[in-house]
Amino acid sequence: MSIRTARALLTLWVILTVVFVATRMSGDTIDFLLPEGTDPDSRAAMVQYLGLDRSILEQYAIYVRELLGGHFGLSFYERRPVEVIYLERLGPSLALYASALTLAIVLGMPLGIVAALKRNTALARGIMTAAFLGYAIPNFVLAILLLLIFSFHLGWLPSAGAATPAHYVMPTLAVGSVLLAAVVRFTRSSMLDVLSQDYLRTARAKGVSERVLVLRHALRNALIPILTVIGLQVTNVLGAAVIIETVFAWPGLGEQIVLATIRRDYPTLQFGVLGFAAVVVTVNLAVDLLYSVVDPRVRVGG
Amino acid sequence: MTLAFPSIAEADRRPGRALKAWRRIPLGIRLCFLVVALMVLAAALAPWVSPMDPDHQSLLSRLRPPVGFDRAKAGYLLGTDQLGRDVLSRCIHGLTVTLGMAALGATISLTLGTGLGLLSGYVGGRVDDAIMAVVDIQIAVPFTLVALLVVAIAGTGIEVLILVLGIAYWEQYARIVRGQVLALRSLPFVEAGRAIGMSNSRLLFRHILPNVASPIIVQATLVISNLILLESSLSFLGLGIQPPTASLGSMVGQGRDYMASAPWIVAAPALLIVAVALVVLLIGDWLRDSLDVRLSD
Repeated sequence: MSIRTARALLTLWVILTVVFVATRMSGDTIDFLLPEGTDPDSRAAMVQYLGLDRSILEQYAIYVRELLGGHFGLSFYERRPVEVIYLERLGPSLALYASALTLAIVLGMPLGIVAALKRNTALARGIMTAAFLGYAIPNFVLAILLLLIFSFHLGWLPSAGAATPAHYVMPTLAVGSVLLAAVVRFTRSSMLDVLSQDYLRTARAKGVSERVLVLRHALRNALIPILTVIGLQVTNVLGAAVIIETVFAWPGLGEQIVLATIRRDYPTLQFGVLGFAAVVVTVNLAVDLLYSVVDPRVRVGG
Repeated sequence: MTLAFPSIAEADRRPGRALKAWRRIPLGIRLCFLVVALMVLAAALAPWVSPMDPDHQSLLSRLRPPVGFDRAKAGYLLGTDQLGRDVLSRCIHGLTVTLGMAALGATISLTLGTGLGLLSGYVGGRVDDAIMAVVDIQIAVPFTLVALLVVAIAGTGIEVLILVLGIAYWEQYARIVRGQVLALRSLPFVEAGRAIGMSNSRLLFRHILPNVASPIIVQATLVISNLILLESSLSFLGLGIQPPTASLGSMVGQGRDYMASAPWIVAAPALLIVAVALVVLLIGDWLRDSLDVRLSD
């Protein structure tokens, strides 16, 4: 196990502990759970049933022991294992992330390349202005504006749910817009950097066709900063998706987390935060490892 | 010969200087500054510039569209909402809340982040390790989730929201300042300062801090625009500003139910959020270019 992996695990453990202690610090969970006017006996029975009468240390020990055995806790509301609740919602969320990421890469990289190759033309300026707007408009505002135009004004697209491909259009745009803009901007600047290098002049001088030059020689070298940006943006994309899922009633992970927050369903919230943190940590590790695939000169130490 | 050349200090105070500097700024950016100034002014003078009381309900004129549409009611420039309140007045007051929250959050995170960054870079060792470990953790969790967690534990309240905004982006300052301090620490002017027996605090605050100022300023504009979005997102979800007080985000959130029949309730604050975020980002971008600061991302 490399040092890098150990650090990632340590980070996750600290997050787990902080989240656990923090959620136990507010003692009124039970009052959110029970209807007003519950008699004290029932209340006490419920507190005991949920294990909230034990000391924090005891609760923590039980939590960690169960965690190591693969049990992540039961939702306060649904009395089902939280991992089962999230598992049901994993599919739609993954589909949304995947389509947003695909949009950003498939559309963003060509646009960035075009903006670099045709710089100082109206086309390039148009692309960069659009990218700046994409960067500046907050995801949920974009979602609302899209809803207003395409669902309520034109009536073209459905406003909630995840049933058909048409349901994907607006959520994908709303989640992916910032990432798309980032990919366009960084592809452009990265390509501009690479295009002025000596080895490209050499390649051109020896008669490499422009297509091969751009796609094989330039793009490959421009990929590293682009990858970094995608890695850095993962946190933002996941954060944005949480809100966008709520806007479009998308049956995904984010909507569940917001619901758990509103209901004070701590076991569910806890697992959600931990799960997202695990994903971000893993993705950053993966990006580190991908560097060495894209560029053999980079060797990940540790 | 007694030609009187103004000294540099005097030249600095010549009245035309500010104007000249202003003229050097590109036209678009000057416009952005004007828009920001206008918005801040409107936000600060909200009780006086808004045409009506933002909380005054008139149930007889509910859901009236903006001026220029059918059924518009005179005096309600941007129409009325579901309770017959003036959308324009609510937007102006919402802007006050949104900008005020962002400014408070930015001040807290700037102080916290710069302080910890200075400490981390200057003291080094265990202190550095500890602070950077916290930074790593903050980066690992999407902040939206941290915010949700804090709200779940501490409840919705204006103090909680300020706390959330204050801790949202401190780590960006901390990383930048730490990196700069590490680079500056070994430069001759710092060594010289130490050699003549300057105290640590004097060295840090009078000599190192001013050299870190421009990246901090650039970062601050980016953080402010991020904070505006964060506050809007949380209020939009109903987890930030609570009614009857409205921020732009909570207006969008509460107007959602009326999108089909009264789109202006949502559109007006949504477009205002876009405008604010846009001008602040444009200024930030220009500042970064003109101060020639290279940031990590």
